[in-house]
Amino acid sequence: MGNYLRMVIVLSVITLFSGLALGGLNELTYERAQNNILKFKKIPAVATIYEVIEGKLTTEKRSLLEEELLSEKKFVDVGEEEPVLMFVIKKENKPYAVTFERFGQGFGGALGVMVGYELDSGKLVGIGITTLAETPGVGTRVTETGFTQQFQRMPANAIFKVKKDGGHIDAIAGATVSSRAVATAVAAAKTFYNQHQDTIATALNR
Amino acid sequence: MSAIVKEFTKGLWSEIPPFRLVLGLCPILAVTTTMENGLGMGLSATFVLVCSNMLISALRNIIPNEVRVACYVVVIATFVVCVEMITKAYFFSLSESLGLFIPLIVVNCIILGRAEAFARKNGVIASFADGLGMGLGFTLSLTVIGAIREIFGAGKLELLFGDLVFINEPFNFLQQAPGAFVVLGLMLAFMNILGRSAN
Repeated sequence: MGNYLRMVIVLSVITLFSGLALGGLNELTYERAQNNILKFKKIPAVATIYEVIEGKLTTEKRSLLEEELLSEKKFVDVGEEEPVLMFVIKKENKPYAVTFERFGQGFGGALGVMVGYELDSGKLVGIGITTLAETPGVGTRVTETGFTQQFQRMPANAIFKVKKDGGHIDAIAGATVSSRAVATAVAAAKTFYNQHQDTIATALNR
Repeated sequence: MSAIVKEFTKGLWSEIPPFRLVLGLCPILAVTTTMENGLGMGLSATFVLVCSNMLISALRNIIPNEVRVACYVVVIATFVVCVEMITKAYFFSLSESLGLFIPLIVVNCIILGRAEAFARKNGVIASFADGLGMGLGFTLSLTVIGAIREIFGAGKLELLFGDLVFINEPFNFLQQAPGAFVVLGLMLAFMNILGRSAN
């Protein structure tokens, strides 16, 4: 009996210390890590959507744009738990499109997709993948342009499901789960945008 | 003292993990497309190996035999998650290029192997020397394989020479997984020839 008790206690104490240590370290690094994700993942995804509208940018122009986007990020309160981070894409100095991030369940956890909508027509402009933990070389292929560009300017009545599930999205062979996650995220974005279109327009001062 | 030095140096030559023990091949094949990735992966694994070896050795008389592997896995996983958080906050581009392979250090057999074969039977200092030696041996191997694959497969060596291009039409095959097997095999053969002539 004493032996069993010892096993339970030792393992529990080790796990407890592990949890405390990781919680503490997470506290210390979380903000920096989130900043990195914002700078190196979210903003470039917005820049990709910008390129759908304005055509391919040079490296210099792209980094200028990224700086501008970073300084003009907005948090819009739509009545969810936390305000939603949004970026406005301008055309001729007027707000032209809005982008925000939605998530789908991938093979290795949440998969983030930045989705852009035209403000006037409410049409989907394009998408950019932000964060993912998919299988290298298989699921990660959803970040390739060949896959993401099929979402560009997709008609409003398109069904955001992979073809296997009866939708219009060409899944990547061998990466159905990851492709499905992207489709789910875009479908969620569509619902979100339809639901909050007015709130977003007001918040962006239009 | 000489015993400690011996524990340290065995990881660098006579028991160098990928070539002598032929352990931990998953990261070797997957992440060594560039020298930088090889070095980053090697140092991450070394950090985990040294820390887990020392802690497991320090706790070796407390951990009951029946649950030892569970305890080792918790200790190792904790250090791996530490590395993951630190790379995400301070070395973001590295964490991007290594991706899922950093969390996968948890199941790197060298680390659990050293805990089971060495740290649970030896003192903290000896375990530190063992972990450091094995880790540096692993890092060295990954860096060399990464450098070879990058030079001949991509035609450059970004970590040392920036954008300088050595070979205009590189042998792309070496950048792919089968190429990693070939490089590893050639390195093994080379090490064996060296080892034989040294004897």
